[in-house]
Amino acid sequence: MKTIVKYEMEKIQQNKTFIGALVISLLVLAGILYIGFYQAQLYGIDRNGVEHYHQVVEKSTGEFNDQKVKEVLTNYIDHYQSDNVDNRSFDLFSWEIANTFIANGEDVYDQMNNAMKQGDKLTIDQISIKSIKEIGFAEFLEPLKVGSFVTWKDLYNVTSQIFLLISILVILVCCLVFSSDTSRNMNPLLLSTKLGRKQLTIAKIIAATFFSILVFLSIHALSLGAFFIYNGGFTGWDTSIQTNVSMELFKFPVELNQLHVFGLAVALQFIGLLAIVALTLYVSSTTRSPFSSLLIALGLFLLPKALTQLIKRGPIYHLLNLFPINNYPVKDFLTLMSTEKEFFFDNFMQNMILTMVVLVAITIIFNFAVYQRMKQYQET
Amino acid sequence: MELELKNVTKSYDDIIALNNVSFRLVPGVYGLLGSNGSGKTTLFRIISGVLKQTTGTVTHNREDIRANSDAFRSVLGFLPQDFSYYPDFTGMKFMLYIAALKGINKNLAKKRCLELLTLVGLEDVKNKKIKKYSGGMKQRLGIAQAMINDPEVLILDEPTVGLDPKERVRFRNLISSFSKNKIVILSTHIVSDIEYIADEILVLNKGILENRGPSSVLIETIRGYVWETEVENDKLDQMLMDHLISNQKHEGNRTVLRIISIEKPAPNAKQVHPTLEDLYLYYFREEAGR
Ligand SMILES: Nc1ncnc2c1ncn2[C@@H]1O[C@H](COP(=O)(O)OP(=O)(O)OP(=O)(O)O)[C@@H](O)[C@H]1O
Ligand SMILES: [Mg+2]
Repeated sequence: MKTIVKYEMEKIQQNKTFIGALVISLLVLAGILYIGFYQAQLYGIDRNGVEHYHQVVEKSTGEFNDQKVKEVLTNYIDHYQSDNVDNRSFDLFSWEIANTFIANGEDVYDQMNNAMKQGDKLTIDQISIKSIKEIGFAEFLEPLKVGSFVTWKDLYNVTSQIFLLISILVILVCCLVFSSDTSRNMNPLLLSTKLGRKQLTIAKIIAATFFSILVFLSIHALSLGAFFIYNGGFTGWDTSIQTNVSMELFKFPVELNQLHVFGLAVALQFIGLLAIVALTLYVSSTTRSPFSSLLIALGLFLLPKALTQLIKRGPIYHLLNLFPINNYPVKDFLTLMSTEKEFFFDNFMQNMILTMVVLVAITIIFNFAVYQRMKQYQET
Repeated sequence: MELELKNVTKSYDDIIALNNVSFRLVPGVYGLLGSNGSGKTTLFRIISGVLKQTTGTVTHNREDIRANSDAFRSVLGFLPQDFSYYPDFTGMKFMLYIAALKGINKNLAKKRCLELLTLVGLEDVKNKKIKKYSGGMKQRLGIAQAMINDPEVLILDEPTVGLDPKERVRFRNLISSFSKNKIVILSTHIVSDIEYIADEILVLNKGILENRGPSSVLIETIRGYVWETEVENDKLDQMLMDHLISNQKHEGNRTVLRIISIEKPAPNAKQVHPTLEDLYLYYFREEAGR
């Protein structure tokens, strides 16, 4: 069995389509990482943005309360009014906090500019700041924590984007697994050997799944590596997801930090990927040419998204939200799964578990269907 | 050991590719003779279990091969008619891959594959990628892979396509030495390939098994139907139109014709010994343009 898996892996690697797709994927990945982490908003107008951001983060990390908000904003308007306009770094951390907590976000900058023109300074007491309660942040036994969040939002965006990349690459690889042998007319030879029906099918499923997992892990590892450099380590991991004000998830009902959310996102993607692999293999086993199997598999992958454009409520809509294409963006699955309006239960964790169970079931069902099909396969 | 087909019929949508074929084979070499589209590949696919017959049964040692497909596949060797190899596999790697699929343990497989590659004359190119192989080399690789598991039932669909005369001889010797206590069935259009090695010939015509028997016996059936005659070149066209010609040889302004005909085709025609090739033409005369 191990030997057959090894040969099947080799067949995948030697396929021209795969080699081409891998090169293109690496380029796209480089693009995603570059735009996501290097061209990020954080860099703002000048390259000192990142440095300044980390200074502010270091000062501001800690328990999230009204006092903390006030401190952050005090420093923010001080900094804004101290430097001359040309060389002040844009501070995205505080800017996002200001947007959230200052009653009339826009006005403050006018007021500060006017004050500076008159040689004066706007002070924190002249601004009306909303309280955490007013905005309605979720409350738990432990207080919320604040810390580096802009970078984590960028990580979430990149993580979401690379899911599409991984999925497409994996669909491309897996759609070849059975259909390329069919199109080569190899089936009469392979399927008339002793192990060609049962063990070969299992070996192909293992090889394809293993390969896909490898792709998944390497791409995520590269992305995490890039994030590590960008974020200066993993600082901010224990920041509550609610205080990531760029995400606007103030009321998110579960006590999760940013690392939890990342972990959940990756876990959800991983299980979704297994389902995609299984479905694609099934398509591959039923089509005669790699190209049609690619089109059908991609179509099925995207279909739930298209359907949600037509069906926007009701049980079918809920069902559609179970599919990876509708819940892969990090913010989307957090919001979708936290309300009964969009999902099945009124409990985030229950919805998350339901989704995973359904995806695992899809994986098992389709892998089994492939096995049954190849076991009984007949030429036509 | 025996392989038996009973009333096997296969119809594709509108074509009947095999029509009520029945035969029983015991160990020996069998040549399946049939023109293009006569159903040879269809028959082989059914025997190897990759195509389901519409009606009828195939049994190996009285067990239905479909009910016992795992057991039957482990004693089967099959070379299908056309398929494309993995171009980046070497010949040796391909052999080892098939050996793995045949459940042969690794060490034994290496030895066996090397042995077979040598037997078909591919030992020099065994580490070359298959995309660099010539047509005949690929064909020999196909023959070798079918034999890896030392099959009791060996089915070869047009194994000699693309082989040069030297390789054909080598192939015949290989089959002859291999076939002891085994059922070997091979199809071909090239009569001479099976004339010498086949113990029996099965004639398949438009899905019907028309005849079977040792080639000498089959040839006897057309004794008296094969003629040779000399004609002037100006009468040649008329003769070619009127008769089934198995050979023509030009000698100056005259031509010697070999004619297959129940009646004497010309006053000066002489009866000659029939060959298997004449027999083929006799059976498949419609395709020969008559
Ligand atoms: N998949 C198919 N669908 C429909 N008809 C088919 C199919 N395969 C074969 N046929 C038809 O069945 C008949 C027998 O075909 P088969 O391939 O068995 O002939 P053959 O004797 O192997 O011919 P050749 O000498 O050309 O290889 C032909 O008329 C062919 O057109
Ligand atoms: Mg054929």
